[in-house]
Amino acid sequence: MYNKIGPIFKKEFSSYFNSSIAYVFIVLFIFIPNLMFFYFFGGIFKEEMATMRRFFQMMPYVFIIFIPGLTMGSWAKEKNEGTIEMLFTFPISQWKVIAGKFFAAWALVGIAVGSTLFIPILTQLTMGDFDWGQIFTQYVGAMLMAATYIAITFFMSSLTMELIDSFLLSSSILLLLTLCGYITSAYVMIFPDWLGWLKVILNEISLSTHFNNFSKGVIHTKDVVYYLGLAMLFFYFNMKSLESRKWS
Amino acid sequence: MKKIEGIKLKKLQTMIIFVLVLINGFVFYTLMNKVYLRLDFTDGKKYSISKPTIDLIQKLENKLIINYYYEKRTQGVPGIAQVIQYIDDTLQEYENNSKGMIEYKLNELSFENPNDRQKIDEIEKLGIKTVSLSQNDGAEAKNTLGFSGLVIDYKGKATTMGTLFTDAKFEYDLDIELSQLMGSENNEKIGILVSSNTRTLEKDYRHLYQFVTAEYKDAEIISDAAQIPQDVTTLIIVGGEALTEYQTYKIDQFVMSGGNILAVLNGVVLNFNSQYGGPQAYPSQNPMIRLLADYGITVNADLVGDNLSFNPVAQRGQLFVEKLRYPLWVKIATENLNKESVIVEDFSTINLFWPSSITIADRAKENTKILFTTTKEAWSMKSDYKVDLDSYKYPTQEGKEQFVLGVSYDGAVSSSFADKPVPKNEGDASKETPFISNGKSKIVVIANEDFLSADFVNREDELLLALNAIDWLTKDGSLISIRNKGKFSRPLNKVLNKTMFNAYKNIIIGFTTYGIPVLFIIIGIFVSVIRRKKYKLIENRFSNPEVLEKDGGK
Repeated sequence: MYNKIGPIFKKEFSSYFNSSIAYVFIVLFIFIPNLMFFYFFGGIFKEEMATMRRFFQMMPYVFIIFIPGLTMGSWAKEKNEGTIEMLFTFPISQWKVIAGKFFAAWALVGIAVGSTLFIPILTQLTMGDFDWGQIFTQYVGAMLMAATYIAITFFMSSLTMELIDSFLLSSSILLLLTLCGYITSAYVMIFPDWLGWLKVILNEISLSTHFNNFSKGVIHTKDVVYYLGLAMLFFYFNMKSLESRKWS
Repeated sequence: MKKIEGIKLKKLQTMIIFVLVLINGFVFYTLMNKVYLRLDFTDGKKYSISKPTIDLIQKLENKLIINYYYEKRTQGVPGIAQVIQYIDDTLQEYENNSKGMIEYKLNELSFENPNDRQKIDEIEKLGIKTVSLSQNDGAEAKNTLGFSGLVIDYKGKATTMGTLFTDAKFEYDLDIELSQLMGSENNEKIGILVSSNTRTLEKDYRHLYQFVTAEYKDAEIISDAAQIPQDVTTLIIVGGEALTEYQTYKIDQFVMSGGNILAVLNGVVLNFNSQYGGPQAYPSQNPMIRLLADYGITVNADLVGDNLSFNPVAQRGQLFVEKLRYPLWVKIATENLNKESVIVEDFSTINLFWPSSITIADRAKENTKILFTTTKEAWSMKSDYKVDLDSYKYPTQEGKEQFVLGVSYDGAVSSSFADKPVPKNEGDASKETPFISNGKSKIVVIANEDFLSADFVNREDELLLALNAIDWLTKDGSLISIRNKGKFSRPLNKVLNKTMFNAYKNIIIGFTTYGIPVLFIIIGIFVSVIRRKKYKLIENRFSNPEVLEKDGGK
């Protein structure tokens, strides 16, 4: 399978690094969340505790901006520039093209997320001991969540022709799916008993709620299934959306 | 025409597949809520509530409502935010495992918000206490008023956990509260008896008293062993040398009638205020030693020294404070703690001061579990005890033995007075109650008193050993594992020097926030320059036919 997906993956991945996209993405992805973590939320130094939990609590919200920014051009640009037809003339099936692109974007996000590992590593070496089991699940969760965000934004990108449309549509959908979990918390609004079902639904569909366990240090199959299931669902939508261009 | 129909069919197929995928996804996801795997990767399984807790909450008959309140600014105090987060997470776990029987709500209130004022007054009346929390901000120390507490409602009854500022043993404390609220807490009553010619509970064992009364609301001081209240089920006996024959008999009867005992006693009496100059030591005439020996557990009249594991004694020298070797202050090594006993399984060490060895009689071996021993390079003094520091400046004795210093016993015991006449109580002419010769009991014996005394208790570990032993004697042993859970906070404590701390802090922030992005920018520029050069080379080749020809069109 790699023989088929590999070339597409390589082409997409190197195209990120051959342009400024990868560097801008990685630099901003490290710089802005770190700045927020250390200066606005106090980071590990405000409480003087060896934990990355606050950093990862920001992650669902950070991804809302960064992942659409990375993937907005995945299909919209190809459609706009007319290169999509050429892409599908390759002697490989459509889903493998999508998978190649998907893994390339995921790998780039992986590099950016992985770069933040220096915070716990340096802190561990000099100042205090982390719970590495928790760190492990936080990074695993962040990557699973990123996969879902990428799948959703890929699909949104396949619906549009313009980059900005793709970015706005993707961010809005991700914002909705992320915030619906936040509004169910007691901080924002209290649901009356008769609306308890709505609270449950909003919680279950929220992208951020399912990250809570990973952020704590717990891996729950429910959360893994949710992220992988949603990613596969949008992967399928993406396929159908691209296929539909032949229907008209 | 055929093509249009084909497209319509394709669209229909896609729609059907779409709906089926959604239905399957929903069904599968719902199933995952019922049948799931949950792996807690945190150190000490921080976010997994224990089996005793799950068993307890599954006994709930009515809805239990837990409200957790904290003051907004409390979160800003170093270390507290993590505690609040942990309590919130743990309570969510309680809710998730209760099958809908627990309703949990997190309430953030603020002194600055006038709308919260009334609620704050209400919860203060319920017992949630506002405390002053100290916050070090560089050189300046600030105080912040805050609260963090739970109100639990069940069947019209309410209870409060008023000050929650540590994650240590939160689950245990909450379980105790829930048990009491649900009425499933067994009515164990603890009695504390200090029997010594020189020491008192209030002065010498006050820490033990404070800990026990804080942990067990139903704890009582027993001033006369001849009058152990009938509702006392577990007796903590510290010492015993002042016991009369009749009092010893009453303790024996207490054991025979199913009472449990934690006996903390020395085999050798130490006197540091001897008129002969220098510390003196002599074998103890403690009646408790004889009583326990009759049960099969003998606390020997010896002093044990451990050449491999001990606490040194700090003594002021001419210039510096010197640390002198003192093998009589035995430090139990981790590998010498019995990991199969819930009483000591979570300890890394226990400090004992002038301990004696314990011998277990063959008849008692089956029911006895060794809690901890010395290393294999220990020795004992059976007479002519030397306790002065000078004797231990250099190794004076070769250690070749391993000694038992603490045991637990669970099983039947025969009375020490089975074939003896019942002792007479002084000044009491009343006829004694019928004699019980056999009983089933739990006994913990630690051959050292000093580790609990106010002179040496400076860490909670030793008191925790006593509390674990009491838990084992009174409750389901599994609860001990909950008590030992926590504390989970991981402070940045490797660097204590503030200047160094700030320096490392700046390095970490600087490298991770600015250094790595700059590194990627440099890599980007480098890659871009190489690419441009490469393109230029290709461009030159194609724009210059001579070069292309020379290369043979390659």
